[in-house]
Amino acid sequence: MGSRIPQNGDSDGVLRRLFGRGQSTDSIGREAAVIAITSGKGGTGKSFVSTNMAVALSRAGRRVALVDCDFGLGNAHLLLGVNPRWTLQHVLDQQMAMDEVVISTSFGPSLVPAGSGISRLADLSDTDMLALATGLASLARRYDVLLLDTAAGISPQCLLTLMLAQHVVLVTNPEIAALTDAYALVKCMARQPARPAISVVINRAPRRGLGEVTFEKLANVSSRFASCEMRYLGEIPDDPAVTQRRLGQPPLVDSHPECEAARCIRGVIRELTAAADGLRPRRVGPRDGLVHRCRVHSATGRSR
Amino acid sequence: MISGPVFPRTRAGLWGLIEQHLDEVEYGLTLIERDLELEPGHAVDALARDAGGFPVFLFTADADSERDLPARLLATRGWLATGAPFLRRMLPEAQIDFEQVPRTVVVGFEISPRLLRQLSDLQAAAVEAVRVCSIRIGGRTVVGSMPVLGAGCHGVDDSFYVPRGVTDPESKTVCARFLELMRRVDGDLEIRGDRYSREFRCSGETLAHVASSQNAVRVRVSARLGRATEFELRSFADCEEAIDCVMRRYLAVLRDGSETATEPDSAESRQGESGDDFAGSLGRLRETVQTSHITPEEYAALGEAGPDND
Repeated sequence: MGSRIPQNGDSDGVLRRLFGRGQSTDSIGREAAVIAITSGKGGTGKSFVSTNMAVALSRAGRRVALVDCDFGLGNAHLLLGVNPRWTLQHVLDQQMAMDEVVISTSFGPSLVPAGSGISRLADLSDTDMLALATGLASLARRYDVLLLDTAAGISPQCLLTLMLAQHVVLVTNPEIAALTDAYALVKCMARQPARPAISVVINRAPRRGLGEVTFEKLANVSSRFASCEMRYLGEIPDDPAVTQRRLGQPPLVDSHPECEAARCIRGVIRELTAAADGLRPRRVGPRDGLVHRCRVHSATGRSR
Repeated sequence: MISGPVFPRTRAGLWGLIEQHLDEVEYGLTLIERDLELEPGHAVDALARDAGGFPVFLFTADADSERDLPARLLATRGWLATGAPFLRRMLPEAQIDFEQVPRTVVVGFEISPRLLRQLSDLQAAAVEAVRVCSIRIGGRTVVGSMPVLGAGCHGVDDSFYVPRGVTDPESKTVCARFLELMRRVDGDLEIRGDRYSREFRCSGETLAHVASSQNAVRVRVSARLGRATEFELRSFADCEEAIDCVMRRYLAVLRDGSETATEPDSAESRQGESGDDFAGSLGRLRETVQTSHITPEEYAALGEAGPDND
């Protein structure tokens, strides 16, 4: 008859946990600007970029939620100095509502932490993805900006998570290996109908200006072979303030707000704000919200 | 192909429908005795037991019986004033709780306006009336009913309210809990029901059926493939487990029938999915990933473009 859902001291039912206290499951209206931050491979500094963007946006007055979608390998909580008890895993297991796992951080943004070391989460079913989209939609009604720190690499689940966003920020490095994997991700995305716009951040640029050169090369290949146009958001230097950081330190934009890397991150945000319709929440209906995008992109053999 | 009516619109046809599809008249109704004679010359068409174990007198309405029906109902009511205590002793095997005065339900293919007016005037008799019909769809007989007199015809039975036949306090509590959770799933679900049951539908597909019988509340969650999943609600935890199943079914229905594999109706079956079901909804994205390899030309272009060569 199925296993019982473990009690967590809350006798109020799964749906309430999944969709949040008092929130209507079918309310249509406001949706935050949903930005997915991804990379073609691990180690490019994607989580560093996403956490610092979240903090910088929050310092600029936006209500920001950072959702660590790196299922099974999430580390945003470490970068933000929190030790979560509940994670996205509990939401997908329908033990907790999305708003019950959201935690405030001392740096401004709220965080939905991913689980760590849970390999099953890396292979979620389509029902899980739809449940994730529904939970994110619930979250998107309460914030101005939703940053999705996705898993690195290419998987159907990662692709679908990217399709939930209105705009994708691709973080890569100048090295050929990172470029190759970044392009592979671009190529996958370019084949999806109604895909979000893609912008690029070049992280760990060893010298000033190399980021733009790198981007031009990647953009030319993407345009020529995948018919995919992208926008350049900026470069983040290989700053000692970044490379010498240790876990437990505040995010860079807080600890070293005037260092080169922090200024570049704020520059990336300015460019992204211009590229992504001001990063403003918008009105959505039943045919253009998060859940709808999930259904559109997960439909078998269906394309627009 | 749709054809019908299946049961002829005669008294015999009406009884054929009632006997074969009594659940459609009211969930959990069980026929106990036909033509139960209470006293010489005075009989009820049938005695039934409802899902709560309470007695129900059934009367059929047709062109022949309609004229005498109001008088028979009044006479029955009069008999019950003194004769009800004897019913339990006379019919111990019926397992009916005769502490409650039997309800009176009139069933017919048609309830004429005149009869309806007369039945409405019998306020003391507290009569309920149900219209039934049957059609044949694709070789399958489908029976439907619609209350036309009584609380059911005022929308109470098509709502998230606890069915009024659920009187046991514990059953009412868990039933109310489950229905509240269903309302949170989707407040606009199509609901049909009666005194003891509710059926929830979305986009024309049945999601779940909850019913009370003998002080037990049971939920049956439909599945597109395979058997339906059943739960008995004894606690809030049971409600949550059932709603988990309902929500998965709901999400599957919302996908507009795109799933072709068996749906995950339980936590265990969900854990059994390995993501390699190409027919599943992520299959297309998986194909994209598998076929989006970089060509030698692209790699060469990236390599030429690589800043390492600058």
